[in-house]
Amino acid sequence: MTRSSPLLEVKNLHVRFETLRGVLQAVNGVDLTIFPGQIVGLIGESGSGKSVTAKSILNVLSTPPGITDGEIWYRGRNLLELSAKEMSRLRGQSIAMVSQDPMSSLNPVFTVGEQLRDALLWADIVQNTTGEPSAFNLINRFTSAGRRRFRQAAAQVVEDLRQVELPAPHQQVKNYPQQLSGGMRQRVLTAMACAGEPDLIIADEPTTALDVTIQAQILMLLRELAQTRGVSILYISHDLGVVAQLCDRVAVMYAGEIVEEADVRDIFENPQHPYTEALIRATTMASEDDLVEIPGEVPNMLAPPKGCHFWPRCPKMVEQCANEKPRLAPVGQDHESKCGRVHGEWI
Amino acid sequence: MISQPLLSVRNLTRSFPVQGGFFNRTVNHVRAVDSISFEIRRAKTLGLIGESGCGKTTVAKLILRLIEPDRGEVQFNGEQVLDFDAARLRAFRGRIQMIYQDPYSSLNPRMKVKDIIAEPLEIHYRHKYSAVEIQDRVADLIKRVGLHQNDLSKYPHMFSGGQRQRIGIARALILQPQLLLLDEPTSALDVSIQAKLLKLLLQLQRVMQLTFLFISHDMRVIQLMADEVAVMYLGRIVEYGSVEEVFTNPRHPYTQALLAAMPSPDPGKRLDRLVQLKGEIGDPSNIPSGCPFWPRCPQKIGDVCESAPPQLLPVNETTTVSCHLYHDPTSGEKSYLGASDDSLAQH
Amino acid sequence: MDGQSQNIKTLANGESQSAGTGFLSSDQRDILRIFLRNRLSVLGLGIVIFWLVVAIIGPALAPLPPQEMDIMNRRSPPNAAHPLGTDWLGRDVFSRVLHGTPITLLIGIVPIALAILIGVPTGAIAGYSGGRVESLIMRTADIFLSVPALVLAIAVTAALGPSLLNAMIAVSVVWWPWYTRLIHSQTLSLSKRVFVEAAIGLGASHRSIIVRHLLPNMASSIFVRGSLDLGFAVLTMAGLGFIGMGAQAPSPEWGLAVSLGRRFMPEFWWISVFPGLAIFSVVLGFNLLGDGIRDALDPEIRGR
Repeated sequence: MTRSSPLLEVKNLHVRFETLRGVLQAVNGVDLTIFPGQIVGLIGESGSGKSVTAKSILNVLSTPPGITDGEIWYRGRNLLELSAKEMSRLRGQSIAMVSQDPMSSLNPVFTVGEQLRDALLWADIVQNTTGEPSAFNLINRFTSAGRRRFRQAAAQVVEDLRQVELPAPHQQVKNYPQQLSGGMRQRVLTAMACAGEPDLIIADEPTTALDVTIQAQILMLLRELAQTRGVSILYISHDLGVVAQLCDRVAVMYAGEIVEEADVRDIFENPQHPYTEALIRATTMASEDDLVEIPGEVPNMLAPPKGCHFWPRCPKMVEQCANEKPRLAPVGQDHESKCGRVHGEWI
Repeated sequence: MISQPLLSVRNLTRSFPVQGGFFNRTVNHVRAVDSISFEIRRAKTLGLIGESGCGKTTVAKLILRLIEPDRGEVQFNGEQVLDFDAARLRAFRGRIQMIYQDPYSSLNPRMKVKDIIAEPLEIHYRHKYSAVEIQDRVADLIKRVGLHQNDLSKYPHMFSGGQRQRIGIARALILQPQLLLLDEPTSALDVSIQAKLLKLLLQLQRVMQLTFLFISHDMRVIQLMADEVAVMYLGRIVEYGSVEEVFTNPRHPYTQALLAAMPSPDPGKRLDRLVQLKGEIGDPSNIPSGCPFWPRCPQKIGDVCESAPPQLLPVNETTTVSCHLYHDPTSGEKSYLGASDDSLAQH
Repeated sequence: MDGQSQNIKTLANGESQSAGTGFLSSDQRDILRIFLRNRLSVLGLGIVIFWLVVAIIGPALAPLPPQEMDIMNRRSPPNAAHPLGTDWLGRDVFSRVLHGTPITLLIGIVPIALAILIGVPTGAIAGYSGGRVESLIMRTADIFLSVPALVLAIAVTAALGPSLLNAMIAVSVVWWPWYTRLIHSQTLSLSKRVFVEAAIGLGASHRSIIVRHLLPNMASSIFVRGSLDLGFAVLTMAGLGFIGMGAQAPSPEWGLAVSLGRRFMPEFWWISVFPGLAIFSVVLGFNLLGDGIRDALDPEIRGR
């Protein structure tokens, strides 16, 4: 498969939070590359830093404020160096986000039609103004341009909702978010994310709150978006099953670091890190033997273990693991692992 | 000869009034649980599976009589649970214990772990045991569920979700119950933690000869844990049989869809596996006439599905299905070939 | 790094390093440790202890009897002979504040304690039982709340006859519905928590659910509300005294002194301001103390 130049390149990303009890290193040197049209799965358990990584790409780590280091390259620009205004132009425009909880992402006092219309309006305004986009234009019905823009957006709403396969979009536009089911809300949110025709969608566990049959529908929708519109998707999840179904490439995070990254088939058929291996078996659960014991719990990130972050729980650890830090190094074609025992490269 | 089941439930039904209008009048009824029948044999596990709103949690509460059923009967050890007076109900609640989904709100934050675990003893055998005896039993249980002695004088908030679930299990086991009702005990946990907890439950079941009613929406968990499985949709059981049979040869279109939508952690089985089920999960307050599944059913055979509710009837010795595909609705009750009257009577 | 993790571990285990408190259980030691760590709550405790001591020995220490009038020095500003000045009858404000301490504390604490005693059980029963009992209790509470507080208190005192005890009863009659409502709403929200359902599922009796599971989780709200209400109670009692139904005119009670001294404001500010400051500091002290106790009793804060 030939690849064009990457759409997004995260290089050596560090995010830390200063807490009352010390510095919490949530993300510790993450590298991530996403190509156009690619669906990349970022997988990890709670506290692994996967959501923090996603949020720092959009620069929305406001509460609590995270301190970010590293580079995030998107179309020749380092996102971490952009001003707040430039960033907000980019957000919801070139890069959009779909979150886990669609209810809290939608405003309960506006109908879903109005909210999607405003998203479309805003996208139009941002695209067609050279200077700073003015929020005034959102309510501008006074000029003929404003009215035309408004009519266009309103006409677009039903069509967009039909594209995300919302049933009976003509009726649903008049409903408020709380009148919709979780799956329908997630569709509306996806339509809003697509309003600015982004080339990257960051999906943070969008199906976690949904039932399996509805989850399958949303996964199909995302896959279609990638195939038909060439949108890249960074899909954050804790469910290896979902990632196996949806993604082209998978990065596994543990305790703030990427411990393995490979193409989806490769990583599931030939995992090169003990943590990935244990996760896959714990997800498959074909028999009781698959319930591999990973002793202990996720490390306290205020005081992470020395050496490899995984060694206190690793069934295959050797003495070196506890003292030296392994490097994320190639172990096959397009396949990298952070297990020093596998490739013998330490820092 | 088949031994008498530990728990047997027959035609259990409960509906809830929906209030609305000007004076909070009852405007409608939600059929949460509709004529459910099943039995669980000693030291076995029945898996109850379904999506949100299908009534699976209500079933557990009906058995414990936390909610009183409208109709039906519950037999425990051959005794009629619904005829129990207050004193016998209390004793019954000592022999049957529930594990809850949410590890965070199911433990009283103001009580120490040792008091939480000892509480059932306090309730049922006040003054019967000395402080030392209680202490010994609590110490024994905390070890069995994989926690340490010095955890006993801590408070629940000092533990992670998985550890809290273990505390909940210890509390449930201190009275040496015969039956555990497990209501999605692992769905709030990370996969590696879930695996450990499931393993613990399997071990405890073997050692203590426990009987489980395992409620879950996760097909993988049910496949691993259960001996028999009942699939629920909108308050009814649509398919009921041994795990092997239901998972390898699902008959009801809903069971088939659930299995297909289950995201398998095997990228080799992609795309075609995500068979889509159209539409949303039905509204329990507005259950369609006829078969409740017909609006979503990909194999609907005709008007009969919309008009005649299918009966839950056997299709072979171990499996019963509620679908017109397998029973000719015009020929009355017994329609499948090869069923002896004995096996029919069993179900 | 090791030192740090050790430190965190110690905190997480909630173990106290302090020695010499061997007669307390580790839990009580924790409660004490958290309480003492918060300077404001220690300050609150100090203020409360100070006023309790003053209440006991203050009257004996006062330089002058409370009713002694110095007719020549009426309304004199603070000076060497009268450190806090004199009032409109030439009585020494400082002595009157000291003499007024026990009675003021009494009329602050007793009505609130009575109100809590009535309000907590009624609120818990209403919230827990639901149905008609709930309607009965809550509607009764609403009726009491719908009458303006002072009017109701006046009516009660008038019916019972004006005396200090009856005024205290009147204030608690006015106040209990607030506690009923507070406890009622807390009971409702706590009852939805799974651990309460779990206790019912275990076969726990209603009494044990209320005593073991509901009340301990509401203790902090009661403390905070009670310490706040203390000041209001003192002021309401002063209002009753003002119209001749609580503490009567020659009494050195603070609230009375504030309300009677009001007409000499602002020129002769010391007549009202010093008893007012005394009320303020008592309320502040109880408030800080209440906050401190709440935090110390909360295992989630204690474990940090």
